[in-house]
Amino acid sequence: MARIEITIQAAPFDPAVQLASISGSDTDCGAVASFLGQVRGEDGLIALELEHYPGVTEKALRRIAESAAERWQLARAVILHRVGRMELGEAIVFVGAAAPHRRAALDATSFMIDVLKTQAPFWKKTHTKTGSHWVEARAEDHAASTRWLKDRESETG
Amino acid sequence: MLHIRYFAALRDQMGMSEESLETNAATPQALIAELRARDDRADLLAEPFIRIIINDEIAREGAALKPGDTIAFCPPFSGG
Repeated sequence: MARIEITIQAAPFDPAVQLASISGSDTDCGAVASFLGQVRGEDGLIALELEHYPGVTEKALRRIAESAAERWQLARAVILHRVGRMELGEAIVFVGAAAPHRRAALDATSFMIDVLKTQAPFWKKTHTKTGSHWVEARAEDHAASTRWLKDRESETG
Repeated sequence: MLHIRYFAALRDQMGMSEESLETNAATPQALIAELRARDDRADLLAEPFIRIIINDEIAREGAALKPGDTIAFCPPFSGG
């Protein structure tokens, strides 16, 4: 049974600490994979702001991690997502998986970040020199998530 | 009575984050029709890309509403 950890927080986090938290301790794990999303400075961006639906978001993230643990043999599955205001270069989200073998860790990590984009109630707002705008969902994100979910609608719906 | 929440761009569009409404609407579609009749700004709620969450669960096709429910209207998610 995989150990799952879901965190939503406003405070910045250290990616190295997150990675260390899923490394080393499980001696039956030969692989740890992770993804770090950070604020990209483009189009005059000054800062990002993340809103979410408290209560619903945590449940959605847990369901995503549980789905990953059902599909792949994992020892650990971790999702940490920040909310509130973030400056350029700051970390937004950390997703990680520890598994006996690399393919499970890599695929589970891809699955969790791809599905998170379309199944967890977060909304991004960009603050630029000329104003603030809500970010629209991207078609390619939808496609990436659908690729994992098309035969598994019931798992994360 | 239904408790209604609006998130992100929809909160800006509706000019409020939540409201309580005395209504007999038994489905999200009926509620949306009632809101649109009250206020043109609610037209956006009828768009197919709007996600509906009822009592903290993403609503499926054909979902029903009952008195006391909380229904949330959400723009497409854009986290990560």
